[in-house]
Amino acid sequence: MADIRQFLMFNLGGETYGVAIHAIREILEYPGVTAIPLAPAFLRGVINLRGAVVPVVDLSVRFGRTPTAINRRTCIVIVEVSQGGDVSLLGVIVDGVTEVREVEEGEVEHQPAFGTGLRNDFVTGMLKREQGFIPILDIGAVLAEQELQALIELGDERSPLARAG
Amino acid sequence: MDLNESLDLLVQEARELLADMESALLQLEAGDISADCINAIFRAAHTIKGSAGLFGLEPIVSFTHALESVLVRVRNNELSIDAELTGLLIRCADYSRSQIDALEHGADLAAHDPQLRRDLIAQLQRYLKDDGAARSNAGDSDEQSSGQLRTWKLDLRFAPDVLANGMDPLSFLHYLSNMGEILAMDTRTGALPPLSALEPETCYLEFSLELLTAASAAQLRAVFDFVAEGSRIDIRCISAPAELAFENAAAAPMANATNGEAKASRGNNRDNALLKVEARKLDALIDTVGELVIRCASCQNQSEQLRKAGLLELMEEVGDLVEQIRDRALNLRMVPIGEVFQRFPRVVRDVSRELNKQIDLRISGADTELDKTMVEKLTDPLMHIVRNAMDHGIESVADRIAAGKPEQGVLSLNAFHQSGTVVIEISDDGRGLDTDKILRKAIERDLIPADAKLTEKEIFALIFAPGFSTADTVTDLSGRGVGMDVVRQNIELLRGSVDIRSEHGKGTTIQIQLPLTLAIIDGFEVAVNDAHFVLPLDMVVECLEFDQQHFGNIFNLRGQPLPFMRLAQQFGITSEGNGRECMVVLQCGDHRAGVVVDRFVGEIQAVIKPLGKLLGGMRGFSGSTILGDGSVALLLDVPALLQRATQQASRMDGLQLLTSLAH
Amino acid sequence: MIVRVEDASTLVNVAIEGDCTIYAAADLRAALLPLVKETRPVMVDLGGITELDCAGLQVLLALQKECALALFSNPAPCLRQALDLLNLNRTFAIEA
Repeated sequence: MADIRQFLMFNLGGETYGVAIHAIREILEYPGVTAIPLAPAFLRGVINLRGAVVPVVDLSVRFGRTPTAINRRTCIVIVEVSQGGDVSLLGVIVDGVTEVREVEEGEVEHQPAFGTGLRNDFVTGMLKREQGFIPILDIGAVLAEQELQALIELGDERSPLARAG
Repeated sequence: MDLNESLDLLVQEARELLADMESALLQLEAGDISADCINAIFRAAHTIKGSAGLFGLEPIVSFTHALESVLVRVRNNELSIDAELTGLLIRCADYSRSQIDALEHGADLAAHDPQLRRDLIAQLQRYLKDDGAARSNAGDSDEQSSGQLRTWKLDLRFAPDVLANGMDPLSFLHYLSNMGEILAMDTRTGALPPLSALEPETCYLEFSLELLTAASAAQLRAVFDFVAEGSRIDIRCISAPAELAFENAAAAPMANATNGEAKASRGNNRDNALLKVEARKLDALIDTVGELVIRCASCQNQSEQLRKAGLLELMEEVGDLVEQIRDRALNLRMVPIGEVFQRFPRVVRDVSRELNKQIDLRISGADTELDKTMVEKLTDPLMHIVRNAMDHGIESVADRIAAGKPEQGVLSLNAFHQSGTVVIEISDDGRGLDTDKILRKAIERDLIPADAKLTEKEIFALIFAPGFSTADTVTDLSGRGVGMDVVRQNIELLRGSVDIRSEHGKGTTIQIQLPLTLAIIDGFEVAVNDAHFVLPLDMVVECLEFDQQHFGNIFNLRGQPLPFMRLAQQFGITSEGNGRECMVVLQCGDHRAGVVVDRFVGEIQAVIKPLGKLLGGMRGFSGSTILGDGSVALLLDVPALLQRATQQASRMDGLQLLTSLAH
Repeated sequence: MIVRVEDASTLVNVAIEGDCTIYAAADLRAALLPLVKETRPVMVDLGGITELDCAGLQVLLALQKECALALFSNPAPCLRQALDLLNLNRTFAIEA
């Protein structure tokens, strides 16, 4: 592993988070998102990414907070998620991307994350900053397909169409 | 083309040939001993041997050679076909197929069931021994003992005056064909002048061939000792599957694949009558055409806004052309369903023996075309239904006689096109479904409450419920752990539906209805507030304004009760609520219902995009599509909606409606 | 070798009979030459051919190459054999 790693820093609900750059495919201005009726709240909808239909996840809801309000700084970060050999693309709504930062290995503390308000497995480490710590997300865990799928199906059971199929 | 790709081609080609061989063998077994049949079997063995030879696949070559030698004698009427020989040939075809499977999995062919191979070859050789008539097989013993079979490439350019000197190239080639096996032959007619300029005694033809033979280079050269000076005779050994051989190896399976098309269309360039294309290239083309369709719709939108003279007309023409391209591109993926049907004669033969039943399989509509991906995914469900029909549907001979039916049961496979869909029917004249038995089982398994009142149709539908099986004894045929529920699921994944008709004591028909293609559909776009949805146009019966002619969830459609639902309510979206609503009447199978929306947007060409793994499980949607403005619209799962609408509409509402109509 | 040509208003029927070898190749060519300019379909019955060599085959191939309207049918066994051997069945398409 290289000594220096790159992280994308972004804002969400007034907090700053980092995520390793290698999983990120691209960053889009917030486009029109097609809502999916009856979908759980974390699933904001789908977008057209050059002909491919890509689901968009509201990260804030996924973290157990209120849905992200859309403003002119809102972005969608397209993330590559691999599961069992399959690679799929997912969009993540964030309040704005601030920078890509090169960080030396030693600057990240692999400590259990206290005070982030996030599930432990969502955080791989904490980046020391003057003002405090920035949580580095394990985006693979945040967007674990199996878990999201299970959540969708759970919500689906309660949908009025559940017994129709 | 690399070696693996060529091998893939060989495997694919061999599979097709073996399927042909099998169907011809079954015809033989049924007593149809025609020359066509025997030729088909021979051609299959011959071509497989040739292709395998190019790759130096000795175990396949030697086995198919033995098989072919027997077939040569059959073809020359030196051997007559009897049940014993047919049985042996069928076993040989099975072994050949297992060799091809082994080849595909990269297994060691020499070690592939050598005992069986030796046994079969020994049995085949018994048919070769009785006299020395089979002179063309004189090389057999050499080939098998020494294993010195080699492939030679011969380029023959005879001197122009070879004919005038009293020699006929045809005789040389005939002689060569007796020295071994001609694996490939290319006769070049390029130098042939128009008839008016043709000199009758000048040789214009050139030949290039590949010969599998045990003869040495010297022996081969000796053949041409007396050919006139000025001829160029080139002979080289290409046995080792070296670089040199690849080019030919790659070309050979493709060229041979068209052999079965004797009546291929008479185009100007007859060599191109058929062309094999990799499926992935076609898929890429169709994807691009899909994009084109979408962009074209955007262009049309823009040009409508611009209102520039001439532009609109031009865009319309472009649109027409794009539509044609779309249809033609999709048509490239269409294959006859016969590809699936052709497996069944063998299955029916084997299974009816196993079950000791007499079953006559009747196939019709084998040339009905549908999308290649669907053909592939249909095989398993059809197999299951056919086995089920043989296992549970058609009675034993004794039972049939007792019921006053002919001893032989009839199983029919039928396919046809019906209003934009493909219909496949599997019918038997067996005992039919026993509603009482199904009900008992369903109650036993807690699928329905004991006091449930169901219509006959609803009872039949129970056999598609997960974990349902009515067989008293589970035989090894149907007891495979997959039930009819899996069949239905597979069909629904193809956006199709399954339906059952059955009459007790008379038989059962299972009807599968499928869309023609999965990639692009004609869609109908509707909107609720700012949410846009797409429906498959072929399920739309009519569109009308939604008035107040309804009770509860039943609408009065010209005096007929029609269940309906409001999409806004169903999906929890706020409707525009300006008091004007529209209803689209949808039909799928026997279900018909209305869906109320805010407004109709119009017909569109929808390139269907799968929702992907994450969203695949979402109910109510069967896919998505990209609209002209680049946004995504969801494709509604009509069967699920219809079912829901029907369920919501209570009988009470219907009664009320009917009463009101009576007044 | 005999070439029979029968004019049947909408098409021309041709029957080739006898030995089509180097000895008859010049005659065969002369008999078939007028057909090249024919604007109607030319139905060529090849059932009567009793012997065939490279020279005879060349004439037939030249006709089929030049005359797009020629439809060959009913190949005699010796012709069928030669086409099989030379792998010309697709080039020299014959109606069943």
